[in-house]
Amino acid sequence: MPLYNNLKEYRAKLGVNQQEMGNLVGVSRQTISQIERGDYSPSVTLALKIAKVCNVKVEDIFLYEEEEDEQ
Amino acid sequence: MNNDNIKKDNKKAIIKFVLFTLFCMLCGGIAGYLTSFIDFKGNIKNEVHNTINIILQFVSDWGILVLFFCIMIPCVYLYLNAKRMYQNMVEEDEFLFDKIETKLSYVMLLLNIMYVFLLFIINCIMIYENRNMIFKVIEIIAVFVIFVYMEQKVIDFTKILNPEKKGSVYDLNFRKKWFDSCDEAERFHIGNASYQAYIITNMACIILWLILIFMQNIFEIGLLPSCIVLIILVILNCSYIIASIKDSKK
Repeated sequence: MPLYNNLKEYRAKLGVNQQEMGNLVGVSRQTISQIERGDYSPSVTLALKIAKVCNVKVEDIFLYEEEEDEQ
Repeated sequence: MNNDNIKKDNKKAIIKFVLFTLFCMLCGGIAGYLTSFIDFKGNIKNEVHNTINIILQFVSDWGILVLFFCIMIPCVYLYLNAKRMYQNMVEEDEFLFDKIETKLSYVMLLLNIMYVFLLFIINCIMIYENRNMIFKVIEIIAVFVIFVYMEQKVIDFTKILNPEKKGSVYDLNFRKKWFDSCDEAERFHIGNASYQAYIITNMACIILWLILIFMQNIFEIGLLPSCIVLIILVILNCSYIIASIKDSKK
């Protein structure tokens, strides 16, 4: 999936673990772990919640890069 | 996608499809023709019957004990291993969490396999005479209680790892409550896993139906077994399509 993210860095800046991050945005620790590894792309709602909690824009955390084939 | 692309896709695939269908018809025709020459009336049929009876009698007498030791011991080992890993965890380690959850998933898999085999053994016990019927009943109840207790331990441990999860194993609405407490990623994975299970079960039903058709001719087992498989197939497909229709209207 071409959606990259810096969630781990922003979570470290906040000083919370994955479980606490999950509690803040209303998802499980597992989901936060999968998002950080790139195994799961969050919905728009979840991405906005994460950005709000981190106090940044969505584009600062999540980066969309088109693969060469799609171009 | 316009009509030309649709026709192009169909044209590309139809030749392989027709060849495959013809090949299956040929194989099925030859196999069906050959079964009419196989005469299992008499000694061979009796031999097969006697062998199956001996095996099922053994299952009826010892099946519960064998099942219990073959499945429950690995379950307990995996569960205790997972518990130990969690207790030894110093700080949050996502890879360790994944390993623990994988072990618990395997415990659930083994428990589900045990549950199905237990039902089969109950069938055998009801058909084959047992000298100690009361003892057999006590055995079944004991294994069932241990099975439910093991399930409860796994679910409770999962809830410790994932505090947002809701539902008790003893609740009749457990599955709904558990699903309602799943977030978007978990529901996405449940959807993927369910679809895989749907595809595999469909294929398994078709293969079983084919096997039972041949056995019908060779061993004269009657229509009932293949009809049951077809009932499962129709329930599977109808429930999937109806659920998809309901979901698309949300």
